[in-house]
Amino acid sequence: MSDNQRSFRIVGVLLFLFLVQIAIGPILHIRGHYANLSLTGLLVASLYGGAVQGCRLGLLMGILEASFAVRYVGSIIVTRVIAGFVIGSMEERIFRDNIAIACLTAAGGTLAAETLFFVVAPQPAVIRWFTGIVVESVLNGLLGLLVFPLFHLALRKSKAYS
Amino acid sequence: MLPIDRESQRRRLIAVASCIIIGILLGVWHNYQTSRGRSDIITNTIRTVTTPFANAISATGGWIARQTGWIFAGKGVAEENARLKRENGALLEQANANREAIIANDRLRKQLGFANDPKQPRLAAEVVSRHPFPKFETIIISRGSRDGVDIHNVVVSAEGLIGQVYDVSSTTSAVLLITDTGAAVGAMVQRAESRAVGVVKGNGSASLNLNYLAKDADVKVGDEIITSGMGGPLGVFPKGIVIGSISHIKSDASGSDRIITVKPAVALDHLEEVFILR
Repeated sequence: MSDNQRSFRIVGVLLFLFLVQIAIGPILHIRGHYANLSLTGLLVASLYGGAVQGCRLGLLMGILEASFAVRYVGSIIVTRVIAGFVIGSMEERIFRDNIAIACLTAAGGTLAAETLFFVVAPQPAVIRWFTGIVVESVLNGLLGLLVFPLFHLALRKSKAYS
Repeated sequence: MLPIDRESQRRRLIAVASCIIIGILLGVWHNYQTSRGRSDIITNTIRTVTTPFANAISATGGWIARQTGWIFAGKGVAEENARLKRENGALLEQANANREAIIANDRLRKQLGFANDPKQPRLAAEVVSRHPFPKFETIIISRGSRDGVDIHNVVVSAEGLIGQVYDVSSTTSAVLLITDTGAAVGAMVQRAESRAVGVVKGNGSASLNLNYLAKDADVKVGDEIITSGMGGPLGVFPKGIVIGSISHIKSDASGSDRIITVKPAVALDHLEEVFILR
């Protein structure tokens, strides 16, 4: 499998996760705090892509998310780019083919990305915001259990040949 | 740990810097367009292209839920049916009384020489996505500029106020729910003895806060809150739309003011269809 095919598959999975988020995202919540499947997908995908691809994927997912949020467009895109870059930079340093690593990356990455979002776009109701971030991080960490096998499956052949 | 050569490091920095710059430029472009009351072409196109696919996934999920729902609902369905029948009877009785009141009201307004309120045209729309971005209290609906929807149009359901349109693409619109921290609505107590006026604000949770009431304003738990018809940050909500009812009243930490919590009349987490007032 070539690098292009690999990238194509990663983007395909991310687009699918984004559409699922838009369609049935509201189901994934605890007491009004929602999980974010798109962000989970981005963080796990960046583990497979490296720093440069992480940036590009962050830009793609940021633009997609911002198109539906239609507020704080620049802040959403920038935080996703940085999240993709940082997680992608870890690609060569950590053992990525491990579901526990993927879940921890999703949880920790969410915490970092949403805190960064708060820094670039401060929000009212600070306590509720941070409670929401913590719950979202836990939920996204759990979603990693579903998202990781999806990427693993999509990139199965590349693993065999790389 | 693997060493990273200078060239690779330089490529990474160029990639992240260029992506950040693109993000900032898109944000600035979006703000510029919305400040002029327009939707930017990028968000517009992405929403238009992706919405049908999201709808297909949502419809498939809904179909599966409908086909299998009875397995989990079981006995609850019969109980709910009985409760709804009881409620329906009470509502029919109330509707009769309301019709009489409307006729009497029209007659008295004519006698006093008041103009009758013209009915605002309503446009039905389906909810395409709820909380598309989990951090904000927003929904996306299936009507856009080509249906005549405009920024600041008010969105309601049969139960009451939902929010206000804040971004319009050709086929969809984004609605800011009244529960969002950025939402504020001029409000008043419906009870004839009170008619206290304040502002209902969202706090990012499922409930609302009623603020800026006079210190001696007469408010009680259970009071219905309606729109006052007075200005808000995004324009005026028509008078008389039900917002919700007061669920809690408590003193703030200093004891000098009250914290009034309002439960929205509309179940905002279960919206499927809405009406846009134009």
